[in-house]
Amino acid sequence: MAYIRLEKDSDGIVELIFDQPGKAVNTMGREYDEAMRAALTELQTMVVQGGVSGVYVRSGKPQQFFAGGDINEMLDMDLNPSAEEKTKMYEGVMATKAPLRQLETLGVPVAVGLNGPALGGGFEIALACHYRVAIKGVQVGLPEAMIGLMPGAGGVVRMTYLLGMQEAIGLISQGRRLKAAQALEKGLLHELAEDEADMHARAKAWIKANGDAKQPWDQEGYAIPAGGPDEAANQGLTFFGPANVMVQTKNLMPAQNAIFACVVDCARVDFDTAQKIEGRYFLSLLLDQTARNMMTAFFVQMEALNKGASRPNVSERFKCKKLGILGAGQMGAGIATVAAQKGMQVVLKDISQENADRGRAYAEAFFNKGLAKGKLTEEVKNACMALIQATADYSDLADCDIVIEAVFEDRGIKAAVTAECEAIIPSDSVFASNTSALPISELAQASVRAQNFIGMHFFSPAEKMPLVEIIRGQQTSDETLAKAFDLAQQLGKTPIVVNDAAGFFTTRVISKTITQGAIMLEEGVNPVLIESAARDNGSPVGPLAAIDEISQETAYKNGQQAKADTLTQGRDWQDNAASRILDRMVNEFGRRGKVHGGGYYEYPEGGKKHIWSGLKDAFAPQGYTDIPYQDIKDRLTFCQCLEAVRTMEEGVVNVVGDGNIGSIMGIGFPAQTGGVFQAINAYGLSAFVTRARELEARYGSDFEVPSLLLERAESGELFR
Amino acid sequence: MAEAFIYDAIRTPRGKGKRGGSLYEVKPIDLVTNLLEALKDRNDLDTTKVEDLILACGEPVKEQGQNIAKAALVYSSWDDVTTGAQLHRFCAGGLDAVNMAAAKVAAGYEDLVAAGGVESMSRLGIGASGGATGDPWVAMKSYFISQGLGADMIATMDGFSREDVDRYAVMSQQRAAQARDKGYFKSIVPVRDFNGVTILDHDEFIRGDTSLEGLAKLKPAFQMFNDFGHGGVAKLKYPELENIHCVHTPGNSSGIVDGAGLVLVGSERAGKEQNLTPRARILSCALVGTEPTIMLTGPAPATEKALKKAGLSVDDIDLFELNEAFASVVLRYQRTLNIPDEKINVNGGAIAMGHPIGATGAMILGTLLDELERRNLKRGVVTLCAGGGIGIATVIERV
Repeated sequence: MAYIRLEKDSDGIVELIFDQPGKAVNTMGREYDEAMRAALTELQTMVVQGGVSGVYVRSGKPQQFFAGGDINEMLDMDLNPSAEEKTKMYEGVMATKAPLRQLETLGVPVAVGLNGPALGGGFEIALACHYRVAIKGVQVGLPEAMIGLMPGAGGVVRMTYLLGMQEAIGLISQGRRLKAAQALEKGLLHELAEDEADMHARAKAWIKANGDAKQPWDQEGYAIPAGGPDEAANQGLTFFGPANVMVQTKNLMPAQNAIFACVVDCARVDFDTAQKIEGRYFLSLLLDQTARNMMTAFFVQMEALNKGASRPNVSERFKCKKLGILGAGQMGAGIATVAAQKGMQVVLKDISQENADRGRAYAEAFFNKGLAKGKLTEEVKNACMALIQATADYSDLADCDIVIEAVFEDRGIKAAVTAECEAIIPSDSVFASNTSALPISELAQASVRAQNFIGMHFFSPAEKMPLVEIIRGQQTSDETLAKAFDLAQQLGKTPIVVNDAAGFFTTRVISKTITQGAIMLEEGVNPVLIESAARDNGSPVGPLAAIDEISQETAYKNGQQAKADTLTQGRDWQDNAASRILDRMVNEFGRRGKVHGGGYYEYPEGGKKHIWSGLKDAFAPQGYTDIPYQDIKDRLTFCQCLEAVRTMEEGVVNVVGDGNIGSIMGIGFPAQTGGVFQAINAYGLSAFVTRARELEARYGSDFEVPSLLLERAESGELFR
Repeated sequence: MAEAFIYDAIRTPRGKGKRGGSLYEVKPIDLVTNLLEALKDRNDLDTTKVEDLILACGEPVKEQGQNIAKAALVYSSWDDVTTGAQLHRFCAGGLDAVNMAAAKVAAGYEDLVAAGGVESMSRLGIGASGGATGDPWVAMKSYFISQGLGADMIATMDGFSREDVDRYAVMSQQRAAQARDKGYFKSIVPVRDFNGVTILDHDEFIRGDTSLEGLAKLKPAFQMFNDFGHGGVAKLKYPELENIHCVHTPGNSSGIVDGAGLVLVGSERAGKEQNLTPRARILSCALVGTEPTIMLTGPAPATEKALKKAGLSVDDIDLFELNEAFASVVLRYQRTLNIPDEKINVNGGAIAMGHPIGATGAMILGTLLDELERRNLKRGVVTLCAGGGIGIATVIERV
């Protein structure tokens, strides 16, 4: 079976059918290249011979048009090839483009039918067709930027020529996926169809009626909408645009830079020259470490994770119909909101009806906000709200498939609600504890059905944060784990699975960078540099600002709680920089956090927040301690990577992808690194060890290299 | 090495650089030829002996485009043997033209060279000629930001308040007004039309009645650039910058004006041949490249480099003339080199009189020389900051 079939119908329309052998979806890789080149050669011959009235491009896969580039093929490419090899790669890129140019200049009308998602390379093929018909609801777009890449088969050029610079930059650099109706509105599609047969009919009817069709850019006098970069109207875009890209990405995302520049460069020259320019920018990303990191984490590992790489082999997919939530605080209410959105019945229980109602009002406020923004209708809101039952009565939980407790982080309280709840719920129901740090196996001691007991760590605010960290206790059964996993997916969250230990994975890792921030502050490092270093690393929030948001007071109380908890367990408690600094902030300076009027930062009314001037007197009275800026930056990330390796060494995390995705989506580890483990790969295992030892010599044992990393550095085995 | 002498330094008055400004009606080339004719007449110059005319221009496009120096020579009464070239070194161009002339003379390659610059900002505003940094890819790789925001960065990092920079601006205005009123600007040559009718004979941008209260009302000129992304880019380069305090306004930044300046540089022998009296010798020149995002910190290192070449120190210099691109540029320079108010820009500067980009360097060299003569002092330094982080300085000594 061939990748491409050419079938001529009785009207002289040649159907070009993509049907990659052995794959569920068509991809753009070597096989495509060869097949497409051959197909176009044949088509050209057929057109010359006469009797071809048009070409209809479609997919032979049911509900699948074309998935895009072959990412695994790209990941296999050498990152530092020789100059000769680079030349060959560039020629290869240009060779992939060539048949698409031939297609749109065959001299006969070319239509395409999109029977399923046309993303990336698939949509690039569609853009090279004169007329684009899609079945209602399919997704189209150029999402390459989301994995650190850009379109390289003419997509940037054609999008720019079609929509103009501003729109092209927006759509491509954000990797926007559009529903067919949206794409139609923007002019990216020409017609929508009801079903496959309707699509074929419409496409062919158009071909028959438009014998002299040409691409807009091949028509005399065609100009790019809104013109090129020298047009006065585009001055704002070209002057401020680059700065905006840099600020948004902290200049850490080469794809966004390349896309912006490529669009502008392409708008300065003719169509065919623009294709050469696009090829050069695309090649630069093929050879870019950041692109590799992002392809690895957001494509390969994310796909594996979504397909259930960490889900035990329990064949039955669980579907939660009724979800119980204990504790109607922000966390409980947030989970209830999400569950209702996904159509689950929710019982939101708190100790009083008043508290439970407050939690329900939280959900209502969320839906009202969506209503005001036009994201949902009154009916949808009412339907969601009708699903949430607020109660103070345990018996309302009687028929819940799963109950998640989101009560205060106190073993006693958690133990009490566990027992009370289990007395009510069915014996096969799952009881999930939403704790961020307390060991699940220990909490499970309060359970009479420890096999049904599991940790589900949601992140706050739960209605927005995409990750759920599932913690498997010592006695948690495979069935329970599978149910928790399925529930997380049902809630639209990305689940990672870890084993039980204090702090699990995410809390352990992020506490390292928060603590490192505190250590540096205590050392007398300029707090502005600490925060800037986090920003320049690509972290969404600095270690000091993070505490301001949680509030120093809450962090302090949590610390006191953890201390009490540790002492109760009969273990030793050691003060550290973080606890010492919080103590002073709260008790000595009364700077208890943003909600209390200010913490590490001051929040002047109407002005920009800035570091509290008292920090210098408190922690650097003799002047700031001067250490290299790169050290500040590395201290904030290395401590997290090293802790992640320790969790793997201890068996807390077993799947690298879970660690990478969890670190990015749960705790804001810089996305362009590809996550805590991929960051080590990208740095180079041996180089990472060397640098960590440097940091250890200067800044202490937080940077001690775990033996697992040493072994990996020695063997060269990457974290994959 | 031969010595390079300054035989004359003249300039047009500075007209407001907008429609309604007195020199708006004047073509850039006429600003130049007015000076060419004056230089010839004042010095009874045999122009066949002048080998080259180097003219700087910040926006060398359209009627200022190509090679305005040679075009002006052809158009003027000067002899055809004098050749000409256009030069671009951003704001440093006018002084760099003089330095290049001096270098040619000192090297013995040429004996008599005219140099200076021209800028009609009313007719060809900033940005008229485009520029490579306007390209997005270049801008991203270069961490390009608005120049004025660089001045605000200096103020923020050095702790200069709005009042500090405004106070400096008031001083510049008062000094310039006094110098104008007392006739200190000897180098001004009125701009005349082709009938000989005077169009402008004084610097019309100066506002002697400028007050701190008045300046305080002006809005920061570069806040918008800061807020639209350039501030964020600056912080990526300067992590110690938490927020940029935008303190520069049109009142404490250089003014937008029209004008031209011209300096005659020659060897001792060339001067003698034409019975010219040297007014000063050029002791040394220097160019430096400094961090380009903040862009405006070149003058101090350029001055230090030029002084070192001349075997002098800051204390050996009687007067400093630093282009007042922005008030913070001067304040940082003073702080870095420990220069008191009494020795710098004593007759005001570009905040009061304006900064016709390509012309300024040549103009303020004349201003400095006039004042050294008036006060009967010996040595002076002329210096400017310029685009891309360029710093330039020239040390002169009266003969």
